[in-house]
Amino acid sequence: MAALTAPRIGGKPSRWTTTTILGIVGVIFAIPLVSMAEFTLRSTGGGYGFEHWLALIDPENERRYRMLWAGIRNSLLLAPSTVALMLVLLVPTMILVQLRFPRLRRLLELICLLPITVPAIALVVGLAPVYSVISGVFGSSAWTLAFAYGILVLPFAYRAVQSNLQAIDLVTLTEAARTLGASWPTVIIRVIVPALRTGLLAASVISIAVVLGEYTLASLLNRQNLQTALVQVSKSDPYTAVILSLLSLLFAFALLAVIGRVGAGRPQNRTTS
Amino acid sequence: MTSMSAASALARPGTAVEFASVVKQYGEHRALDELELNIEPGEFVALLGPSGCGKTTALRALAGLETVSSGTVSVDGNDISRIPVNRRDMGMVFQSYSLFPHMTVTDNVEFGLRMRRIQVTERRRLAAESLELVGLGALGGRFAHQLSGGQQQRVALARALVTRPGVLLLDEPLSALDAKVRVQLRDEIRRIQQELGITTLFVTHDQDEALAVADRVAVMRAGRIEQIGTPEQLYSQPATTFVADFVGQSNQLEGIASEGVVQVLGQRLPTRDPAEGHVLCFLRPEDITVRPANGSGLGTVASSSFHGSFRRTTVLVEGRAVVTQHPASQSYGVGTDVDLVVSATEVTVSAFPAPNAR
Repeated sequence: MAALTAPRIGGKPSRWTTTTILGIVGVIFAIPLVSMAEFTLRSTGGGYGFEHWLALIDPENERRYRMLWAGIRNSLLLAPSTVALMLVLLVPTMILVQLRFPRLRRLLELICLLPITVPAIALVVGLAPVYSVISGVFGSSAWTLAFAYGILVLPFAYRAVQSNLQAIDLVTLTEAARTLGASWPTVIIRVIVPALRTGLLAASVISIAVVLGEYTLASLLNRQNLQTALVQVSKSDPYTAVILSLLSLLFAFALLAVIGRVGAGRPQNRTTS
Repeated sequence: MTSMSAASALARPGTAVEFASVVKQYGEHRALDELELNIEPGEFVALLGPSGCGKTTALRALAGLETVSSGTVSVDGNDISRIPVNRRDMGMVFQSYSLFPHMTVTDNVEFGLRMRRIQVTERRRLAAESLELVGLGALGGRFAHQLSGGQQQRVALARALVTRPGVLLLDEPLSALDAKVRVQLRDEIRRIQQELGITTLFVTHDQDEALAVADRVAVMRAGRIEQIGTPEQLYSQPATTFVADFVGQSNQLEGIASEGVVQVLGQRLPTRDPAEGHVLCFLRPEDITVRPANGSGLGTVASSSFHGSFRRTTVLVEGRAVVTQHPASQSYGVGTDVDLVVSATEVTVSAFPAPNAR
């Protein structure tokens, strides 16, 4: 009795509890992945084999999968376009607000977090007329969807960069560089961007993950991307759709693992003396 | 040995600095109000004052991090008010840690040399000498997060000095450090400054720091310099009650003044102040001596605290606390009746009630 009621040292859950919780969570996450993998390995005639995987790269099926490859191509084009848009527009704005207009920080945060509260369908209704103009100017090639995706990734990219900005004293670093003789372009290239490296990388990777998983906007604006193509293909060929879903999921996990590794890097500054 | 050779490489003749009628206006608020300040070549001047007095603004105006609304800031007689920060030839150490987090210590120190397009071998040599000068020659490969706060500020100092700037600007560089490290680094800054002979402007709100290291201390208040002088002058001959109150500890006691003599604590003492009648007198604790009471005594001991080499004893005189300081060998128990003897040669007074009393 006494042993049971004695306080546990350190206040941490026991090893057993930790293992159980992590085990349950792991199983819950693994079930769909394992099921998907199992499904793709089912042979049409019964038993297991790699025929559906091999069919995907069979030259004979090229016509059948043309739309799918187009979707993948578009998504792979959209991902860097969206990242570029985010890096060119959002990051300089955030740096400027941090250095020169700190009072606008709350407003910028509000604007950047807004897209997360707007349902995709409402976004499309608003974007449809905008896109009739965009199509007039830039044509209707796939990359133009990056403008809409730029809005979609704002909340994620903003948080990633902002947490990095908060960890460093950007104003002092900039002033130190200036007093040491650096021009503004040099300050940005040699001091600010390297100091924000972690945040920028995390923002880019998470933007890529968002773009690769996006369906609603592309579908409702009548564009082809990976997800819309997957839906199309799944109607006639569920195996291929599941194979590609599985691959894109694993790719997204890999990206998140990269963020994790980068984020777990060295701390930015120590405040003890 | 090493630091001496490093000093010879990094030293250069000091430059003179002048603030002439410098005004800095932020909307309605005047951060600098016709500031006048001359710093001699190689001189170490501390700007001392409460927060918001304009001392940091003055330093930043000299660095070029703030533009001045009017007036001129000159270095060696040349007006630099319009020169951008990165061409001003100043070395600056900031209050908060300012090392570039993605660079090693050596890269940090070399940064200013890189900006001046110094070739790599010379850069390495100067950076190593500069790190040697601050006593961190062995830590060149570390990153900022691997250093203690004191070490980070030393690197920041090495980085500021490596370009052999005309003026060294120190913006409360010690305020984020522990008391012990603070004193160490403070003395080291003074040693390096004297070795290099570099003109230095040091901003602080800590009077001990200012008095300990500076050739001259300028006490600032509301954007102006209230008094500038050697630490000794400020301490023993404060020009105003604000200075008397801000620099060192003072007792503020009522007295009656007439014709250059003030009556306080039952004694008549000389004063230079022209005030007459009811006045407030500023007396340092060490200028008041405690004596065992002869008869009923002037006051009663309220408390006494030990400070190592001396004791501070607070004596209640007619309900007012008077702080005195005396050797630790003497000791007076609480409740003891004592007499007080004022040994000040001259008393600073102000009209009563003191308009400047804080």
